[in-house]
Amino acid sequence: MTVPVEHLFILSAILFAIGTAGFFLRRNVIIVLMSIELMLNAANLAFLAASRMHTLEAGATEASLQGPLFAIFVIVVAAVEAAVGLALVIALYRNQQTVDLEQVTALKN
Amino acid sequence: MQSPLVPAGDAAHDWLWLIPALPLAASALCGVLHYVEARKRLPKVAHGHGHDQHHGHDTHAHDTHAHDDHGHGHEKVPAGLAGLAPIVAIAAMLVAFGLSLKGFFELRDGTATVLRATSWSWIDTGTFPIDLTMHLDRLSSLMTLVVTGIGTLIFVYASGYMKGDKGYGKFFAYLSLFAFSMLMLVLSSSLIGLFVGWEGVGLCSYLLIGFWYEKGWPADAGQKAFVMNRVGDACFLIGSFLLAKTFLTLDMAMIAANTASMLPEFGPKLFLAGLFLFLGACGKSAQMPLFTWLPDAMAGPTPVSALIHAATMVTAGIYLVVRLNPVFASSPELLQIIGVVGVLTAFIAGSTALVQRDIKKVLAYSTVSQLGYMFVGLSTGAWAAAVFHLVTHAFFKALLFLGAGSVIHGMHEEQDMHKMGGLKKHMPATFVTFMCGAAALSGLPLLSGFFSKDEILAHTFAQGGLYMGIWVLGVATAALTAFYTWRMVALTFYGKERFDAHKVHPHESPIIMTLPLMVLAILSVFGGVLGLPPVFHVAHNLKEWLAPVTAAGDAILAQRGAHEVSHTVEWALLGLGSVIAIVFATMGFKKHVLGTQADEAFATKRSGLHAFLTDAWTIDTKYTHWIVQPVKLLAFVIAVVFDQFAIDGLVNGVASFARGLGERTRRMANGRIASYGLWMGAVAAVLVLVLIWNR
Amino acid sequence: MNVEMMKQVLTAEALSAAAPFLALTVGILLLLVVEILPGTATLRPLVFLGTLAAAFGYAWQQANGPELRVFAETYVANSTTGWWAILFVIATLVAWLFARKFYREEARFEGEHDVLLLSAAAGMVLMAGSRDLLVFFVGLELLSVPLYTLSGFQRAKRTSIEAGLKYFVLGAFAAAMFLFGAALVYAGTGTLTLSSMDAADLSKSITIAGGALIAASLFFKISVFPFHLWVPDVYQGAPAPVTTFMATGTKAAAFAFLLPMAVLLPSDAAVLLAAIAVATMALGNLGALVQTDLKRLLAYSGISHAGTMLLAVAAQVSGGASAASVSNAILYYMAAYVFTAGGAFGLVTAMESRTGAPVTIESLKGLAQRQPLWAATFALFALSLGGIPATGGFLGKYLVFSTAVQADMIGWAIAGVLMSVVALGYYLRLIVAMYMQEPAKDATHGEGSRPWANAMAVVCAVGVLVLGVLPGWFMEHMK
Repeated sequence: MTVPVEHLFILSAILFAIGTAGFFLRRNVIIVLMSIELMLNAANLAFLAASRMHTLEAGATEASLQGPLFAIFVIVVAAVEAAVGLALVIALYRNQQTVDLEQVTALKN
Repeated sequence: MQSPLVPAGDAAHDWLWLIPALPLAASALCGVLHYVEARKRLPKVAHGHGHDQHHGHDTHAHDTHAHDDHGHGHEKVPAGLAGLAPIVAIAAMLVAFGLSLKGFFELRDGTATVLRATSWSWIDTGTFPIDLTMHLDRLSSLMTLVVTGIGTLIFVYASGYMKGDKGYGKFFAYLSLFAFSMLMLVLSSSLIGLFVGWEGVGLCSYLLIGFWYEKGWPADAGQKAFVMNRVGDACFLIGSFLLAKTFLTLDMAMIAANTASMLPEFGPKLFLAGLFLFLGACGKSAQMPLFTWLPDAMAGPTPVSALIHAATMVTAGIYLVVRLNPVFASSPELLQIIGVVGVLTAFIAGSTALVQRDIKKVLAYSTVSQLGYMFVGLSTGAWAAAVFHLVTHAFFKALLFLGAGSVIHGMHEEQDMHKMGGLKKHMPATFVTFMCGAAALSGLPLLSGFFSKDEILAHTFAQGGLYMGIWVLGVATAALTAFYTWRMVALTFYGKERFDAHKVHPHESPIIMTLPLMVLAILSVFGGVLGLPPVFHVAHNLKEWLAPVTAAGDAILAQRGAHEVSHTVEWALLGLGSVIAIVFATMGFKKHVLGTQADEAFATKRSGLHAFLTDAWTIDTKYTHWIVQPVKLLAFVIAVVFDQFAIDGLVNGVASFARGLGERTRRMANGRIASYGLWMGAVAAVLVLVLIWNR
Repeated sequence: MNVEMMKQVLTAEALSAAAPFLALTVGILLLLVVEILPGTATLRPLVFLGTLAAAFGYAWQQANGPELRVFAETYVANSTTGWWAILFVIATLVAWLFARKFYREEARFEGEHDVLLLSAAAGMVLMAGSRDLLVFFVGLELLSVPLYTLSGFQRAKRTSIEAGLKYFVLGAFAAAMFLFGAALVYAGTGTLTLSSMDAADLSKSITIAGGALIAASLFFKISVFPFHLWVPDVYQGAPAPVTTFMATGTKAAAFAFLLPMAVLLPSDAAVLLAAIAVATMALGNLGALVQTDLKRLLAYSGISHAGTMLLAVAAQVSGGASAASVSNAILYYMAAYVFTAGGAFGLVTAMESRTGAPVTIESLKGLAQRQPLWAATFALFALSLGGIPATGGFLGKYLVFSTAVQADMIGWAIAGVLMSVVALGYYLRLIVAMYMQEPAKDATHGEGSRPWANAMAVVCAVGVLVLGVLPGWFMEHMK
């Protein structure tokens, strides 16, 4: 029994949407960061699904490896972004004793 | 892409480059002299406290209103090294004038009608290559003679007028830079080269208007001039784009030569291009609706007003139209628009000049009015008549401005004519020359202004139709001109002395200032010989001279039928012009020779009309009201409403929509990061949807 | 991986194509070594400048060399990428020089600062040369992550942290959009390399949706409407040298990839792009009109410039203007902008560094008397930003608008030209403040001498003038 590739795309789109919604709706920076992780992983899933689709395509002679490769890069980059992001959050907390994005509005017109 | 109609550049004429290059070099040198001198004058104090002492007049530096009574607000300072600046600048201008003469004689005696020299490729790839080619034909030759000739006289005058100013060197640096830009403007063969000069003169004008910046308001006036000019410049650029798109070249000679063949196919496009170029010309030549900056520009030193705001820069619009005359000739509607705008400007500005008390304001509105005449001339296809008026106007208006400067100088910076009077005996040389200028401006018979103005009006009369209306307003404006000119003369030089003789001792200006006045006076009186009307049965020198330049436009106009007036009508018109000039000049003089009573009576009896006229038909006020304020408001709305309310509003809107969805959405963020993100996400989604939808 | 494969990939050609990038990477490693080894701290500026010099040299070779397509066509080196790399090196140099003596509490972290700056530069070089979504993504992150850190570099300052956090959160969001877009393009075409996508696949809905998402994420980097909202905040809050770098470098790098990537967009996207471009110009200029903080003002001005350049991209997408003329126009515009904005932001840096207080129009008043050189160069930059002839800014505008005319987008070009009129209003305000208004009694900005800032201001001013007066030379090389 195999999962149809469309389902994978739909799942990744749903994950991306949930991530986006979380990004818009939550005020806690940590949760916003988690939402972004979710969006990145949605993209990863889409990459893998597409790779599978192209590999299984009629007439394909070799596996389409660019997708999985990209996913690995994304995982690395996600780790880097998390490190930098959390560092900034710590700096914010030290400075303002808050992780609420709504409090971060000193800069505006 | 050279057409046989336009000769290629010839290395033999490479010397043409020197004409603009000399003032540029002089400008750089004057700048260095100024800098060295300014360095020397810095007080020797410890660094870090410097800015307190740099300012010799700190006492009133913070109160800008205090200056109006202080004249320039400057202490006189010895020029030192900067004293060399006028010598450098005048020498450069003289040599440039000599070279212009050389070009003039080569054109007159040689077989070529155009001298071209390409020695520098500015951009040689891209969509439209630009090479800066110098193009000296009979029109630009005339313009260079005016710019360098009158320019030299004004430079000489300025060396006396500005003596003792702490920015002496800087002033000549700016003036020379202006001369360079103006010469670039008239010598450039391509629209882009012209635009460089066009922008350059605007920039220099701005720098020079704001020259005495401690006064406070000149800086604002300079800013207004600059921004208004930019509106015109934008239109100019648009017009150039349209022409470039149509003709696939930026060379004006090529465009002019090919217009007739493009006309059947691209008529509407040419109309649009011409309209935008005319709007550009309106900005530079102070026509409706972009004229209000010129009177404000009078805040600059008087030689600047004479050179830039009377004799040269403001005529750039006229020059542009003549240079591209086939484009304008191609559409009768466009010509009518130009005529109506011109005559309305002439009339409105002329009536405004009636009530001004500031002598320079009278001359400023008069300039706007006379420029209107020139556009009327252009609108009838009388290119040569417009250029004729341009040249004579350059003579007599430069003279009048310099004369007014001499008066202001002698009166210790007084510009209000109501505080003058009886200066005839104090400043005889200024008085006599000023009279010559006034007579020429008001169109008294046989002087230069009489012939040039009459020629324009005769052409307008000959056109008939809509142009009859224009003619009537034009004649009315001639009456106004005579009136306000002699009002000015009467108030300034005749009648009782209305100043405090204990405080103000009017004196004649030094010879270095009166000498240019005398030269200009001679030119103003006899300048008419350049273009005597046909009834005198002598050649119209200017018209014949310009024939090769205007041939293309004339040919297009001739297809629609020529308009000529018979000699009888011509005599009648000349007679009418003379009578009107003499009658209204006498009226203006007689009413005001006694003093300010006539003005005061008018101001009290017809206070509404008086205020309306004084404020130039309230056009400027309307600008502020209808354009400046809304733009400011819009900017404010963008900044505050868009960047804050709208963003938060979008988020809040989503929030209230989502509120019904569940308990958790109560905690929806409307912090700014989320709202920025929401905008991004929303527009990205729109992008995606629209693009897919369009497939 | 066997030796044969390595030999195939790492040809001499490939190495020379990647040389500017590799030079920067080696420089980063050297800097890190210098940081660790005791007693070598004084070497740091030398290593930094040497790295930039090497990168510049290799970039120069590329700019004058043949086109190389390497790593299975995922990376190219030609004269355009060479010029981009040169621009990035200059932008880095300008930012670095203005950062000298800028930091006080953070001064001991200057080593990290320099390393981050170099990695960002390396990222930009990679972005400009990439013709593959994966390679571009690596470059993008190599640029972005250091910039997040640099924006929040002044850890004690609330505004700096806020700027860093805002930039990071929104940047990560944009990156996520890019990734999802890339995944969709990959799903549609089966490849990530631009040159191996075929026309039939490009017109699939899923590819177009992916292309739109990628374009949106690039719009974030070049900061056009409505992806510009972060710009004023971040520019204002970030340390001034970093702002200088962001204003010039990031924008350039994103444009460098936007041009080849535009093949993903269908030609009817041109109208949309042009509308975004004009809206950006309008918002940027009107926004700048009411600003008093100089960094915010320049940020809005930068937004409007991005809009102007986007107009040229629209001309390319419409198919009416040749890719070469658009690429030249944007490269030229950006080159002028790097010098102009680099100089302008740099001078703001110099003024800010003395007091640490924000620089406003108020504090510009009377600058002509306190610092004649700064005032003169700043006035030149303002005129160039406003597009006055004889400055680089004018020619950039001229080239961009002429591509729009070429593509028959005259209406949009007219709108753009009109916008530049509004722009002059606020540039002029700066000149008026410097030259024609008296300083407030307690004016302190811009006192004292700063030889580095003076030198950089002069260098930028010369760049602006040379680009304005002698473009022929550049054009010759850019062909």
